[in-house]
Amino acid sequence: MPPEIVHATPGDTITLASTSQKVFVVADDPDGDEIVFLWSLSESGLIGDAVPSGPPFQGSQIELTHDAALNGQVVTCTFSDGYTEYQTKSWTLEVL
Amino acid sequence: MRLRPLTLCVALSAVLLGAACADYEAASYDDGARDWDAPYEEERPELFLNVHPSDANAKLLPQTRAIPQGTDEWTDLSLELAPSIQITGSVRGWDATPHFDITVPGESTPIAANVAAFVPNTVQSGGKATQAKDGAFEFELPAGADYVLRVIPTDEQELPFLVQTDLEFTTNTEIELDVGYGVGVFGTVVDNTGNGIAGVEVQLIEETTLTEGVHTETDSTGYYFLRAMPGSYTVIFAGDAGSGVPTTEQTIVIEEQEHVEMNISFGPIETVTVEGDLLDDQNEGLDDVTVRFTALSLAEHAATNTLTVETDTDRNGYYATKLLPGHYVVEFIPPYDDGLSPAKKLIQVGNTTQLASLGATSLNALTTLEGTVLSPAKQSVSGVTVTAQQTGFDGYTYSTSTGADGSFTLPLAEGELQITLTPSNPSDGAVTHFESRATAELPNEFLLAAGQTVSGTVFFEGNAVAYALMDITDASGQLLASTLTDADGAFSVTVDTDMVLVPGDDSDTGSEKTEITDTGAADTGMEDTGDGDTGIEDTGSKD
Repeated sequence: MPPEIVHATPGDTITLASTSQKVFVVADDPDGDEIVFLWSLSESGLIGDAVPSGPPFQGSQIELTHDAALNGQVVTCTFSDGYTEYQTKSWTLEVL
Repeated sequence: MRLRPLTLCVALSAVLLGAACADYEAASYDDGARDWDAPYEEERPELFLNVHPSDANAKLLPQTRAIPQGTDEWTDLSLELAPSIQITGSVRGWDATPHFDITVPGESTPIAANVAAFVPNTVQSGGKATQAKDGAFEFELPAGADYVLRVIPTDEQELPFLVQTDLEFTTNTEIELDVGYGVGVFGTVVDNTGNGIAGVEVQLIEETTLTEGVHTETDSTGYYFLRAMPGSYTVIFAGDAGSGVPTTEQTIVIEEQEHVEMNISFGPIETVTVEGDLLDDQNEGLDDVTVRFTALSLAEHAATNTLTVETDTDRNGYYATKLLPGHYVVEFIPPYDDGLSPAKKLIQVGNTTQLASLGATSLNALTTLEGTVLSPAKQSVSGVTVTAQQTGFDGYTYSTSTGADGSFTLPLAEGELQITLTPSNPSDGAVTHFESRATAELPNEFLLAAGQTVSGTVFFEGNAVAYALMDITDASGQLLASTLTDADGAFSVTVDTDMVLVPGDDSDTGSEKTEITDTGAADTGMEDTGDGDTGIEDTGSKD
């Protein structure tokens, strides 16, 4: 069974109105497998500095900086237990 | 970052480094190690609890609560979140014509602008982009005080931007905003021959709130024009780095009804093309490696001029870019999932050649860190999340968890690192941070600090806020711990507010590749050992 998101940053759009913004997901794997998370931006590519969010839950978080280059990009979290199809969750970014 | 007192660092590190560091081991652990059961002697630092509600409470917005410095009680905290309120209104500006004469106000009209409100140093913010047709906006904020409101016109570059501070929003609020027309800030950006430099981005930053305001670009003659309200500003002149044009900044104070003329000379813009290749250990070219040049000093420019140029390699591993003569740090940053360590070089770019080659640079594969996590009582701990983040470069992070015997294996980049241990059970120990220098030999046993418990419950109107992400940071913004509230809105995490330093040799940059490459004749005081034919001199590297 693939892992599923149980909680995440709400909404489909993230507005960066000041310095930075956290985006996070928390997932659960029905089989208890370790979940690997990978974050990416539609134009800028992979985000390498994600950190876990809130053990003992399995989750991951990134911090997006207030950077005009992010405006209009889509940030996606891809996660997998390594055995089943990967899952994704995406948000569109608006930088003010 | 506040570090532990030196004696404590050395003593604890002696335990962590084990047999690999005999000198440190000679220091008695019993005499010098931290007494985990001792009362916390220092005044407790200020903590910030950032609450990021999840989709379980989608109507709530991220909010920050501070625990003041010196507060003894960090447990049983009750965090009541503020409701989200609506901010509505519209933005107008002036179509001032001609631009130089503020006595000609032109016509008041709705404008396109970015409207944002935020509380500095917190996660509380909101905003909306307006359109020129009506200038209308509507967005949500957590109710509260100390807001900064900024309005930055996006289309009308000749309009000033607006910053208001110390605002309190406690209920739904409608506000009408007018950015006014301010006074002119104008001038010309030229090189050393007096030729205007086109495409220099000019931006005003309001000094009190560090709000980044309107920006424009110089035209083909190097001319720029902006408008600003009275106040103190930093003006950033950012050249096209890819063409070797540096960035500089000036400060100005704008008085009521006084235009400011500010002319800038960037000096000579005579660049050298610097090229090279990035290879793997099979001598194959590495694609898509970021190559970032950051000037430490520019040979023929004022110290206030800076230059950072970024390019990337093609599929053959080749890169090339234009640089001004000077000293640079060059960072080679592979894609996150390439399994390679970044590298760094120091180079000198001279002014007697138009083309210089850095030759081939190879990137090493990630190494592996194997270790065991121990509790303060030196028992192995399972389920500890081990996170290693590069210091510098792009801060790549690698994570894993300890197994049943407390052991872990983690891919690791070379260089300076910050390692964070996060126990799944707060009773096992604190979220513990280690900082290692590039030359430090990492321990194979990592000891969790005892730390102090931070616990409480997050409420909204008397109801629990479940499954919200909680970030706990110190006053510098350093992330101390991260957890989630449970179904009852409760959280408990053990934090250690100090950083454990794994010592290395201060005089050595260790595994980072450090080379001095002299491409020419600029006399910068660095040793030049010859070889002018190729424009390259390698005075040593440490791989």
